[in-house]
Amino acid sequence: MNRWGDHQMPGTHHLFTVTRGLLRIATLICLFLIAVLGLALGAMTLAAAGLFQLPIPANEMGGLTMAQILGAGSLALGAGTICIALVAWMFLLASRIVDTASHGDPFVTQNADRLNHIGFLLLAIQLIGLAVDSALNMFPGKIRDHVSIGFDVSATGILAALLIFVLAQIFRRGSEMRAELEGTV
Amino acid sequence: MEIIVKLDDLLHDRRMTLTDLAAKVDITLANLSILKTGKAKAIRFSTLAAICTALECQPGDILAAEPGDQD
Repeated sequence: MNRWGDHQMPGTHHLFTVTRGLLRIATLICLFLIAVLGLALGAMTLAAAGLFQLPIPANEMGGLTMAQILGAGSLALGAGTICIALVAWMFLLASRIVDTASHGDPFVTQNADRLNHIGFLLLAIQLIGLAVDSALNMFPGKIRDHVSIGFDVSATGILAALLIFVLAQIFRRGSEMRAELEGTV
Repeated sequence: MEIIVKLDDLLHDRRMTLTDLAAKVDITLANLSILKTGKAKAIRFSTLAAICTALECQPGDILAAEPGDQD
């Protein structure tokens, strides 16, 4: 039974359906990327173990050693895999929130907890970005022209995490109000 | 101080069941049951008015304040 009943705005159902579909597609894309990065990380590990040589011409190594390239590459790939896994987890949580909004009452404590998790995941991604950025700075400068994980600390990311925490508190208060209303006859 | 609901006594005096009352007022049997068993956290004026009309009584006949801790 949909508690929102007739109070939903026209088109809201379609909005939920489209959002849920997009979130599932985004999660699948993340899983695909994790698999690809995992394979690349495996190849790096095998190359580091000396099982095969990476086909990089000596004149394109820019004075860097193979160990430096493999080290920086593995670090970037590992961090990238973790970040994408966290993003997939975030999409999964967001998808569950949309599910509750679509099928019943979104103002439940579980959604407040999910939003809190999303906030922490956003912060974790920022911290991983910062840590990997600092770690890559320890490699020779030239390597940064070729290796990047594409994540770094941004004011927008921190603000997004804070806003999600605020939203989690709003949902928690909403769930309390909903519980209070349910006791009203 | 806690508020108690004396709906059970009123229904008994009038030889009415909760189902009879639910049929007379626009309130579900489930909600009336919550009210009767004292599990309700709040009551709307409209609910109180509907019950008063159906049982021909005053709000004070339905509710009473007794010493004790409120949940």
